[in-house]
Amino acid sequence: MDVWNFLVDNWDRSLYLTWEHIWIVGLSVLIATCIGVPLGIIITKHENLAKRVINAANVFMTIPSIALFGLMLPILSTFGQGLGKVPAVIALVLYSQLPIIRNTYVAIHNVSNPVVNAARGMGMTNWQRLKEVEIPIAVPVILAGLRTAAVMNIGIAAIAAYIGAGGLGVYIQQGIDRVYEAMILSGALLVSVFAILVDALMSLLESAITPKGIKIQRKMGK
Amino acid sequence: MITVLGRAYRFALVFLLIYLGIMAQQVGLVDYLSIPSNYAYMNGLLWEHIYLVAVSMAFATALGVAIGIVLTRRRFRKYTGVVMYVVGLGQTIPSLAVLALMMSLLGIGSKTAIFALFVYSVLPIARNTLAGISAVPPEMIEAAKGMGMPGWRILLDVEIPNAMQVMLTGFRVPDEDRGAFGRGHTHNTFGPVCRLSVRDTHFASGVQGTPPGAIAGTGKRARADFQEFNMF
Repeated sequence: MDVWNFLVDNWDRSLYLTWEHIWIVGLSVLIATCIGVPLGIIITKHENLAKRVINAANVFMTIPSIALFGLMLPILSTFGQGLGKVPAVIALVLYSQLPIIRNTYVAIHNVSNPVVNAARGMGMTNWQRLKEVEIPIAVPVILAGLRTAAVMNIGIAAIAAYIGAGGLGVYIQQGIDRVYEAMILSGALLVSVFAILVDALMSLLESAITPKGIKIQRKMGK
Repeated sequence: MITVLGRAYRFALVFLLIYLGIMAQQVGLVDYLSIPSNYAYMNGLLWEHIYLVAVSMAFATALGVAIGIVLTRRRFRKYTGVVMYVVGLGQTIPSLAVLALMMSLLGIGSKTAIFALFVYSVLPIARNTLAGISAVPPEMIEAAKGMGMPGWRILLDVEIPNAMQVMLTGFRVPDEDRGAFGRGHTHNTFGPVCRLSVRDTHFASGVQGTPPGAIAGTGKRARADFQEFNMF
């Protein structure tokens, strides 16, 4: 009940923090997609790079988020951006690389050979083949990668409140400092609901954008 | 083209190392690490960190493997979707939120951290156990049946050994990130050192151009943490 009262009393601030959270996560996923998807496609054409790129992305994933913020701070503070939204977005972009690159790579790699050969036989250029055949078939898996990245980023963005990035983590952080339980809980609830919502929406989008043929194939497979 | 890239990559790595070294000196990390009296503190934190991860992993392994095994039994197979969804929900909820929610129930301390780590580790372990066991070729199980093995021996001698590799990947994935994160308020693991270094960095390198509020905020936080930790 306390939580409800807190949210009603502070609806404008809650709204603002939610907006900030959406903004940080959205921007980082957008940037990460712009880097990750092309990179994932490129490494399917250069197999010897694939391992190296995926390993590099893996390394970033292994570094705990709070440690990454700490590590980036001295480096970014040479540009005067040690705290705030910039390191948060950079960290989120780095973390999203692994799911996005890996899913893109695996998806395009797994497009079945006969399909690719058929496209080649129809006289499609490399570019056309990518655009008309490989990407449409790979899109559900690529989107699954984006979904993982987005959900994970919501969680890490909450932690980024500790380096002054704003977002819903602020409620949790300040609530802990003030030993104000309603504030902590409302922050936690809002972040959780946000994450679950994004997860559900992305899965809807995934099924909406899956080509009909693949859906039928999946049903037949079962 | 590839060799050029490879050389550039190696060069970039060396450059990065040198840059990090210089940074470490400037920021005061080298000074901090060369004071022997800090070692005991850091050693303690390291062990606490290991303790948190180990305990939570033990619980998560027990539950995750159990879930994985039960869901591959023929009778329970139809519940797979529901159970995995519920377990997956634990992973969708951000770690900070899990900690915050649990804090009001379990209070501040290692219990909360262990619980959050546990929630996070169950999914990968359960999923990989499930995937590993269901990937065991049915012919093998048939053969084991033909040899007259009872159900539990098929599980122990055939299914689990064959699924081991996939299962172990599940163990490797989960805990690294959250371990550092069970830090801070719920338990004093490496968190404080990290947080402390955030504060120190500020004063050591005299960072300019960051929002003053943020700096003051971080400084205050670090100090507040210290009081908190001293209290416990």
